[in-house]
Amino acid sequence: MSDLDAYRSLYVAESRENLEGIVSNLLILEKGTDSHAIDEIFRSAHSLKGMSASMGFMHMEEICHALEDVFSQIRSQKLDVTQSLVDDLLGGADDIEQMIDEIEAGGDGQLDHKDQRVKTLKKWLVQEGEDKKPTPVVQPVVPEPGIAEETTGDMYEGPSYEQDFGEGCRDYTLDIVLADNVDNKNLRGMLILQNLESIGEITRFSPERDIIEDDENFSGTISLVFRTNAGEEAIRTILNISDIKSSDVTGVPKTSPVIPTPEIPEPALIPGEIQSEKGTCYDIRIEISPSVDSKNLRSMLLLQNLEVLGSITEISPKRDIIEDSSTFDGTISLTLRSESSKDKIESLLKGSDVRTHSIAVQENLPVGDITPSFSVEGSDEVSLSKFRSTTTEKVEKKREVKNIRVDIDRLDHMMNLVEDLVINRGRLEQIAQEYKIKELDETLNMVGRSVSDLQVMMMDIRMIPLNQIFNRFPRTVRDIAAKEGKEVDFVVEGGDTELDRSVLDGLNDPLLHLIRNGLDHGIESPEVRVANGKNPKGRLKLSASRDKDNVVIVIEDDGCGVNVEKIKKKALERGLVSEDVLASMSDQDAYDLLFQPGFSTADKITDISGRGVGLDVVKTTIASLQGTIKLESFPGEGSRFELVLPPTMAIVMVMMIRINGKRCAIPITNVAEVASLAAFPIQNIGNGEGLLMRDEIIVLYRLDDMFGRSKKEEVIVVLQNVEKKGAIIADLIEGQQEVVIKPLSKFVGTCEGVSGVTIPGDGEVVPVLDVKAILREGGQKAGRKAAGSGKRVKKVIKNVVTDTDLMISEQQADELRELGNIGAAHAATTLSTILSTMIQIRVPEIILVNLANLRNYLDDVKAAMVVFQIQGQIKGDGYLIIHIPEDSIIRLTNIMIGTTETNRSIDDMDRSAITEIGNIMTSSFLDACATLLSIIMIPSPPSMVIDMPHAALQSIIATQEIRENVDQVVLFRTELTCSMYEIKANIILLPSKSLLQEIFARMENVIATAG
Amino acid sequence: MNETISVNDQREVIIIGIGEWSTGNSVMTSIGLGSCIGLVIHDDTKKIGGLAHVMLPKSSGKPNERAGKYADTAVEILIKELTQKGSKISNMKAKLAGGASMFQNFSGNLNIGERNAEALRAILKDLSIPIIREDLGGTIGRTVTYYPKENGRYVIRQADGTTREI
Repeated sequence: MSDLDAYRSLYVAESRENLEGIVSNLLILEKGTDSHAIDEIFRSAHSLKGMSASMGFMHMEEICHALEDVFSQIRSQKLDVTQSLVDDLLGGADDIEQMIDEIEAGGDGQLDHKDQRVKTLKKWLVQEGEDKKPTPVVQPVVPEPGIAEETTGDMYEGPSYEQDFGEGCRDYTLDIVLADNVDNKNLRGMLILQNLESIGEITRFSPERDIIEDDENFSGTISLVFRTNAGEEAIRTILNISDIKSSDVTGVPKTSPVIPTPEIPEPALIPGEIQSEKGTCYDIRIEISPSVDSKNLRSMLLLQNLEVLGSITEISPKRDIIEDSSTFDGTISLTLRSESSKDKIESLLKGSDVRTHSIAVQENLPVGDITPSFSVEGSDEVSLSKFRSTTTEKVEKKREVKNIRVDIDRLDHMMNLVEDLVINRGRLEQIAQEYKIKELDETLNMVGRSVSDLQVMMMDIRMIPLNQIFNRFPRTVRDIAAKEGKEVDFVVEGGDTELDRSVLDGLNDPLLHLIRNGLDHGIESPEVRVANGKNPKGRLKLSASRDKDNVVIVIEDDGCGVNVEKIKKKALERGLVSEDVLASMSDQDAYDLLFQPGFSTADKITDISGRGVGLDVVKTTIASLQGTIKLESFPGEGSRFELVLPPTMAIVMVMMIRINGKRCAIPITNVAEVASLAAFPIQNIGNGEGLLMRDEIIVLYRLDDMFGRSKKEEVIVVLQNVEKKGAIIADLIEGQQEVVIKPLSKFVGTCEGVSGVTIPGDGEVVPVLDVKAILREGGQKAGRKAAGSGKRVKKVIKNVVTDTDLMISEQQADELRELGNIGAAHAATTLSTILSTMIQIRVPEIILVNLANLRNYLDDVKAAMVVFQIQGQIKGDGYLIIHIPEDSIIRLTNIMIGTTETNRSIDDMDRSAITEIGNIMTSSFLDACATLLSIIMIPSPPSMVIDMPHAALQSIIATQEIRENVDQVVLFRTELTCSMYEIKANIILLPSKSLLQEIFARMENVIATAG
Repeated sequence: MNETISVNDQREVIIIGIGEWSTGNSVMTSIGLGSCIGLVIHDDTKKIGGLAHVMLPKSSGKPNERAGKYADTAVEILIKELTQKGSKISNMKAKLAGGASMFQNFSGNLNIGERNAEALRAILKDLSIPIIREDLGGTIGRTVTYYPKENGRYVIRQADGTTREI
């Protein structure tokens, strides 16, 4: 069927839309918030079924049909919407999705377990017939008599009253005429029907039910055949209302005792009239050709076609036999009421499928005549509703022409073309500049504007609202919550935030995982929540918003938060970190552990999450989209994942620079500042280089291995990525322009430091700097792979006196000590050179001191304190203090200056000398750190006081405290002694927490690479 | 816990470290006031009082912060303890010493000493506790000793040995 192939993609697209409609409306239906949801579902299911049938996708059609039957019963309120029902319905929807996928791939939508699914769905159907099938649940809804539902074109039936068709039941013919002055005949009619049905069953309607309930032209006259065991009196009671002008109850002969009713009012019996209905009744008989395959389908299509022209009031055999049963023999007798001409109807019957047919106008109205074979609900309702829904569909289709579908490949192709345009425009601009042709310039300006606009529009088209992926999540949340017995309120916000399609594609899985994560690990069961004083219903919120250029997506829950202890324990078990590192790990670091591969703290692996392949994959996926992910957690209160994504990755504004004659491009967002090298000279610090720019130390990265060392260095470009900064030196800045960044081709592979290339228009290929990588390379490596000593952390560590609860690990203590040793050694060497004498160094002490006890660690004797503020590479800072007690001051100065008088007061000369000594020692200390341990700390100019050390220390610590607000400081101290002259000096290091971390990280790196 | 030492004249002296405080009628001393302020609240009718070593102007409200470390919490805790010991606020008087700027030229030198002083003045004024004497500012470190039983005598000592009383 080649025709089918042509329509295949259209079918798939439309089917997906319909399916989406069904699923989202099912969820709404379950919540019970929208009474129109069932209508939407019906429409969608019906369309789906119809299209599938016409495409010949049989399995699809069957499942849709089964779904439709269930929906119909839901709509007529025969069936209650329960969670397990929705589960089954959603299961059916899943099957449909599977089939659509298969169809899209070229198949015909076969489903292995189709029969099973159909069976499962049919089990829900409430049977009116003789045998009562074991239907699960279904408490029939009994609306209070007198309470009417809005009939906006929908049909509502009253409750089905399960009759015992044994003794006591009688048939009655009821003739009812509504009062003339009644305002809403349809409504009144419906009410009466409902009331009757509360005590029995209406087996025949004249006119048709929907005419009674909906048709404006309903005359107000009803004729019914009614079966009940409640007795005539009961019927009369019901009919004794002011809305009814006259009614007639005639019992059909049958032996049955009358059951007495509570009230026996006076009956009003006036024989009424039955008006004729619109249209003509035709008796039609059809025989489907035996050679035709799928009689069921053919017949169904035929019936559908007939129903476009009118309504089938009777049909034999039963509708579902015709449409489903394999025993259907291809013969149909039906009555069609239609206003169309006989010829028109007949033309429908003349298809090749039909072997014989006959059509005749009925003479009499069918009351009491024809063998009843229709069931009140089911096929007839379906057929009528089909009619209804097809008309509404047609209306909708007319409205929809504003949107068109475009193949995504075409869009991509267009995008490529636009990108080429951008490149060539750049080229043209360059040529124009070279030759300075005025007319060319002007025209180019205009072209340039158009291209820019086109670019913007293309970007916009590529931008897709996040709703595209958000839409699927409510269902997932529902399913998981149900499965786990949790109650969740799922809030979605900002779904209309747009993202480039390429970024969006990659987001689905990570978001899904994070949502599952929140449900699985975050939100607790209702009991636990109540026990903790929380609302039993948890809250999971997915929100998206724009922040400058980026898109920020937040997934937060109000669950139990991340259990830091558990994480640490698991990490230890898995050998991901050593005990030492763990002991000093901050909570935030512990969260980061979750992103490590192979990490899962789930006690049991559910099939939802907890397989341990999750968060690390999420992180790498987000990183591959050039985004970042962050986790915040508040134990007992919840967790919050924050994803920051770039809106697009294709066209960017870059700064063009030249390094050693070679061009390179830097994305503008990564450029913090540009300055002249003359203004900020390079400072050498050990092995590294840095720039002191307005109180900030910025590390200088040499890109020699990329470009070679230039001789024309003049410009500093300060790069930034998130919060990190770094500088590079360039020859000159050429300017800014918009370019298309293309990734490196597979041949080239990955190149550290280069994130892509661009062709600015003069044909040259220019690398684009990967600022993130450059800044990272120079910066610290996390060094989490600890030396894995496996030693237990002792309470008292050698030479680390702890009088507080804060501890640094033994390994870290060792590291600090080593640092101090080396630094002090150098400082001592320097001092000894000045003094031309031997200096002894004491093994450094590392003390974690409680502020209140600080006084115990230094003599309170007047001393000189030469204080330097030191700055680490990133954010760490601290203080380095050269402490020289009073006696030593004068002795020291004497040696330096050459005086001998010791019995004098300290003067400015001394001050100078001491400051100088402080300077020299500090430089030595820090240089040594830099050279040997790659820890770059740059000192500020010194301050000096000669005063009580405690007061000075306290003042220094206060400036740290105002930021850090901890109660402990790490005090590093080593004593230098020159016995010959009785000179003592102390080197005290007061690092802030962040400097400490930096130091430790650097040291571990050094240790790791030293092997 | 404050440390107590015996001094020459056999009196017990309570040593108050950074962020600590004490109330009662013992002699109290605190060493190393640079930018910190030794806050004394004295009730001369009962001859009791308290000394706190205040380091920063304002607490952040977290539960396990040392009360004596911040101006606002220090005043609060001293008053609380003194009233528990029978003092009336109307009898309380304050004396301040410290708040120096020993290191002028550090970037981010935040004039903590000044800020501490300002904070204390404001809080005490609010509570109508008069500051009857003060020795604030300057560039030199201080050590202080408070004698509740001697009319709230408050002695300040500097690195060069000079002392004064307020």
